[in-house]
Amino acid sequence: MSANVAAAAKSAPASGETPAISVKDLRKCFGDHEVLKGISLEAHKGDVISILGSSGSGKSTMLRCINLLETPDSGEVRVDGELIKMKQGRDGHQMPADIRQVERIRANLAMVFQSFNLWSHMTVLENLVAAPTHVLKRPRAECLEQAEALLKRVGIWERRNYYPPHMSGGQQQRAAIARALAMNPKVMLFDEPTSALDPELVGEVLRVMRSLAEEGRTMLVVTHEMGFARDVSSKVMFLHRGEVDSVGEPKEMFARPPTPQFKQFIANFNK
Amino acid sequence: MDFDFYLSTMWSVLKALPLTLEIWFFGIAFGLLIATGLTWMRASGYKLGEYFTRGYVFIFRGSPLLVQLYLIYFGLSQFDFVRHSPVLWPILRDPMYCTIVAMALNTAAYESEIFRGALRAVPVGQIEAAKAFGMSAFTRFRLVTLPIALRLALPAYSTEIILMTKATALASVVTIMEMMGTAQKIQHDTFRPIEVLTCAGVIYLLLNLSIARLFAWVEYRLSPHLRPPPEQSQQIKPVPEVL
Amino acid sequence: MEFLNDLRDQVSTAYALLAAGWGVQLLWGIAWTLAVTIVSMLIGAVLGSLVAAAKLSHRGGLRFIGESYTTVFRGEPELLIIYLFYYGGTQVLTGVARSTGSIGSTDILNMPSFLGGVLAVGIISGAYQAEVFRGSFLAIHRGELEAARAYGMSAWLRFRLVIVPQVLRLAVPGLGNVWQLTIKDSALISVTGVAELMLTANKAARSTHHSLLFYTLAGILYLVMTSVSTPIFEKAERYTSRSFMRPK
Ligand SMILES: Nc1ncnc2c1ncn2[C@@H]1O[C@H](COP(=O)(O)OP(=O)(O)OP(=O)(O)O)[C@@H](O)[C@H]1O
Ligand SMILES: [Mg+2]
Repeated sequence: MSANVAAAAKSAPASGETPAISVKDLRKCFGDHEVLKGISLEAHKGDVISILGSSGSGKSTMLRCINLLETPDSGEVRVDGELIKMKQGRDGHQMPADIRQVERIRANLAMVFQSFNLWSHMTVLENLVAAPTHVLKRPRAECLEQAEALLKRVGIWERRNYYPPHMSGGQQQRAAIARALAMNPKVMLFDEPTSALDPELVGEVLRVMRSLAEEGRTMLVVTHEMGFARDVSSKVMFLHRGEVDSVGEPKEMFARPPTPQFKQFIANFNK
Repeated sequence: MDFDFYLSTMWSVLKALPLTLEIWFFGIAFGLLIATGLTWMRASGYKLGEYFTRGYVFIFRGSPLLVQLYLIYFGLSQFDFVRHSPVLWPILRDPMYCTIVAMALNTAAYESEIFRGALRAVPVGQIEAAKAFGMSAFTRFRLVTLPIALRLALPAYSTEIILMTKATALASVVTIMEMMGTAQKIQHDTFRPIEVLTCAGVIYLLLNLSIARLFAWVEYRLSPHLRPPPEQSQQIKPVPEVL
Repeated sequence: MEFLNDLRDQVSTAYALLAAGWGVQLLWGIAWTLAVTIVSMLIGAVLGSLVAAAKLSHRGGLRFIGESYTTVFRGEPELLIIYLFYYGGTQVLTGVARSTGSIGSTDILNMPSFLGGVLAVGIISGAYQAEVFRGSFLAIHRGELEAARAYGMSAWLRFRLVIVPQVLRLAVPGLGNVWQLTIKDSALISVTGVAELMLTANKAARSTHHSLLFYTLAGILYLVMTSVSTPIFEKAERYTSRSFMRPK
């Protein structure tokens, strides 16, 4: 029931509302290899956008350009309407003009990595508290309280004093999601959050992600989980060789693939 | 066996332990300072800094500490400006200070390489995560890079500290009466080198073993995440003998 | 300008001193340093492989001996070991000679300084080599040993065909480090009067009062020796691991 309400809210974004994320004509080369050839994307509040594409199509690079882990060569990224200012570096490449601004924006865009990247010398609880206290400067007690609540939500509260290497992949990824949630982010970026997991651990992580989608979080999810893309997301975007091949409503896209490339892509998956 | 002789030798050498520890401590402390500077220069990304540290490491690791000590103690005093400098001369005419300077310069070369390696070994993913959460460069370094790198550097650093304990013995060749110098004197006076050097050897060995223990303890305390988790170690129960 | 004149004076003094015989002396010093290092490395290789085998043994007693060896000889100041072999050797030789009556009761039979020196440096080198060999052995792929057993190779055959070549290959970089360490340790035996490079530089510095010149020269010569050995060991590494590289 609630899922339906949320889905209804998602499918009808108020026109004129500033998008949570808007990317225009993003380009990126590594050496002479052009990985992103002009990508544009808009995510409104409550959107869950699944980004699909075969390996090497530039999905990760796109996501990493949004929070400036990679510096785009050209194009613009806006978060909540705010343009990330760029300037010309000495070597001719673009670079962020104001690193403070980038840091402030990154704090609003929590990222969940394929390989978790939990800080291995901190316990799970410390992982959840580190950024909120040091970046957002929130009081420690409050952060701890929130962290415990989040860990209960993702079901690993009993492991709060464990170090990441002592947990299973699924538990680590759930801890990483909780760490992202602890920032109260405006948008969550997921880069193949289940790809490093054993098949039997994928479900527990997807369940958490589905519940986040249902509560109306804005999410960009790079994934190879077709089920998630079709059933949970509000929009599917298919990247092919660094370009947006097709975008659309998931049921529609999967039922009637708009391009031969996308058709081929899902055909390979269903094999 | 002449038990009294062993005891009195042991005691005489032990009385020189504070001097050995003094050289050791100051050598290590100044060495750490220089090494930190070198590591920073190397990591700063400036070509000049990189070339300087490379050259520094090449020179101080490639030649014996004894040559470095002689060069500092005997060689530098050939410069008029050294002998007339109110700052340098009091340091460079004193064999004890010279030993400390030589040790510090020498160990800094090895330590800067240890630190460089440790910094490079910090998993990039964890630094990236810190970036992605909006941490500033300084916060990132303080909360993530430094704690991880320090733990990684600890084993090699402790080895280097033990090498420094051994290096203090070189002070004896420039007339300092630390433990080795004292042992040398007793041995010359009594012509019983085996007994005397065994006594000194026992003390040096105990000293180094304690240092190694101390570092192992620090490492253990700092790395709970590298140990097996709590229950797992309880699960591994000894196999009952009946089996 | 004055500085240039000064420098020219320095260079011509240096040249004169070297031409007056110190140059040849230094060359002899290098030769002795290399001799000491090579002999010490060989002694160390024999001791090191035995100690490594002891440390890897299933027998607790042997393991304890191996562990003690490496702990003691890596934990003691090198100078102390050198004194122990030189002066201790003299003490033992004198004692034996006096009791057999081959020297008078007040005479002293000195330990030959070269022998004392290479024994001491060799034993220290052995402790470090033992660690290198042990590490290399542990790094051999277990599966390869199992395969050798599965094909019915005897212990000796396994040792000769699988273990030795692999240990040698894996040990080369580590041995390169020990070699450099041993060159540097060899400078310490100048205290017992072996006329290697360090002692030669010492003598020259004392008798000419040009310590800066001679210690700098010695430093440079040590640098040359340690850095020339790097490409040699790299070549050796390429040679011993040729079967592990892709064909060109
Ligand atoms: N730092 C880098 N330096 C050079 N090339 C890179 C770098 N990062 C990515 N690439 C290249 O860019 C291309 C796109 O990489 P990207 O990681 O974005 O692909 P992806 O779609 O995420 O693929 P996957 O599904 O395998 O994660 C690849 O060809 C990759 O080799
Ligand atoms: Mg990727």
